[in-house]
Formats: sequence, C-alpha cells, structure tokens
Amino acid sequence: MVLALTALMGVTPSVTLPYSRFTEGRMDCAEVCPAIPASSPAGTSLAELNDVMLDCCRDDWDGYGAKAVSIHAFAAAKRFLESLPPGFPIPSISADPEGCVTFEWRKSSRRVLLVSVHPNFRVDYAAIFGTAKQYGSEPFFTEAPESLKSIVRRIFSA
Amino acid sequence: MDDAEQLARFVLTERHIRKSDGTVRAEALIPSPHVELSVTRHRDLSDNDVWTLGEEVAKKRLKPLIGRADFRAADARQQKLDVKPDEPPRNHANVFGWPPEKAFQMALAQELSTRTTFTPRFA
Repeated sequence: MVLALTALMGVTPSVTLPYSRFTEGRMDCAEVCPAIPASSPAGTSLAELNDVMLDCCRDDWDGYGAKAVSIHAFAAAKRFLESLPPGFPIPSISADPEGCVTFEWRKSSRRVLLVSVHPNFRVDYAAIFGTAKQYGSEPFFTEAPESLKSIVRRIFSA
Repeated sequence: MDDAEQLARFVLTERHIRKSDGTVRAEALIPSPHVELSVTRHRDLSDNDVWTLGEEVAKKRLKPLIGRADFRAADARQQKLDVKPDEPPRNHANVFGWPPEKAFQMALAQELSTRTTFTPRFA
C-alpha cells in the first residue's frame, strides 16, 4: 500500500521508507486504542488523547530516545481527562520523553500550564504567569488536583 | 561560547509543535532520557548548511525533519543552564546543567520554549 502510494506520487521508496515505517508503527498501535467519537468537547479531547497514543506508542517516537506511551500511561491520562469538570477549558495534548501524556492549557506564551501525567498516578506541572513561575509534583487518584484546576482558572481569568 | 550564538534543536515529530500557532512546545526541549539537550550551533554555517545538518540528523534517526527550534546561548544561560561544544558531529553542542527533578526541568524547558523561534522545514 505504502509502496503503491509512493509510486503514484513519483517518490522513490528508498526516500520514503523511514516515514512509512513510522506510519506503519502508528497502525500497529491502533489495536490498543478504540475509536472515540469527537462530537463533543470531551470527545474531542479523548480523540486527541487517542491520537497521541497512536503517534507515541513506540520507543523513540521523538527521534531522541523518548519512551513509548504505555497503555498504563494512556489509562492514567484518560482518567485525568475524564476527571475535569464539565465546561472546563480544553487542553492540547501531547507526550514527553518519559512516555507520560502531557496536557497544556495556554492563553499566551506568558500564561500557560503544562501537566505531565505519570502511569503511577502522579502529576508533574510547570506554569508561567507573566514573570512568575510555579512548578511541582502532586499525586492524583480519581480527581485532577484542585491546585491544578485553580491554576487553569487563573490562566484563563481576565 | 558567545551569548549571541544561535543554536538549533531539530524537531523530528509534529507532536512538539502547537497546531494552533506553529510554536514549539516545552516537551521538545526536555533533555530526558539524556542529561543534556543535543543542539547544533549555527556558527559559520549558512541557513542551507544548518538544514543539511538537520536532514542528516533526521536520516540517522529514521524520522522526518519537521523543522528547527532556534534559540541563543544567552536564552539557555538565563535559565541557569549552559552550553558546551561537543564535536563530532560538526557544530554539535549540548545544553547542560539540567536539574534532576522533572517538574523543574519542565519549568526550564517551558521558559526556554518561549524564547525559541520555530522554523518549519518546508514553509
């Protein structure tokens, strides 16, 4: 399929092989990620989380030796996301080199919170408010820590 | 290394770029699993030369070259980090002095990312 596509595009397979290998890896990981409808804000975030899992489920997904996002990391991140209250600002989702899913709430470059959710249900976070900074670690069980929700509200306040 | 020196961190995954405005996420600048952040010095290179080195990095790592995140040595030093040459390969350097605590690393990478300019490989 990949070879057929590259032939149609007039690109030699030797040039596209690394990228096609990457794409095929994404397909392999689809088995652990059921399709999630993106018809609501929460659904959109879950769909994005699913997409992160597909992109980052193999070691070295970033080209610099990052650990894969495991199914346990995915489960912890999904629980974190689902614990956010209705109407809460929607984060953008990615992953970090330790294989943890990351959530970012950003109003501007100087009003931003980055949260990294560990498979062992701990979160590390870093925030910028103008010239002030805040960072730390907290456990989380069934609910996202209130301190983090408070930071998000502060970021999006007037 | 002079404060004004430009450094490039090659971006090899779109996950490190914000779709909303094309800026670099902090995750791109977190050194883990290494203790130092691998970068390329612009010194004595044309823009094309920098891209050529980026293509070599991407090819070696079997990834597409998405773009590069440029910042100055001074930007790293303002975070109490530092930069040292580490050749070969040509113009390679490492940003070092990262703290062991992950949240602290995230905070430094976050601040560094605000001073970084992202240039996509193919604009």
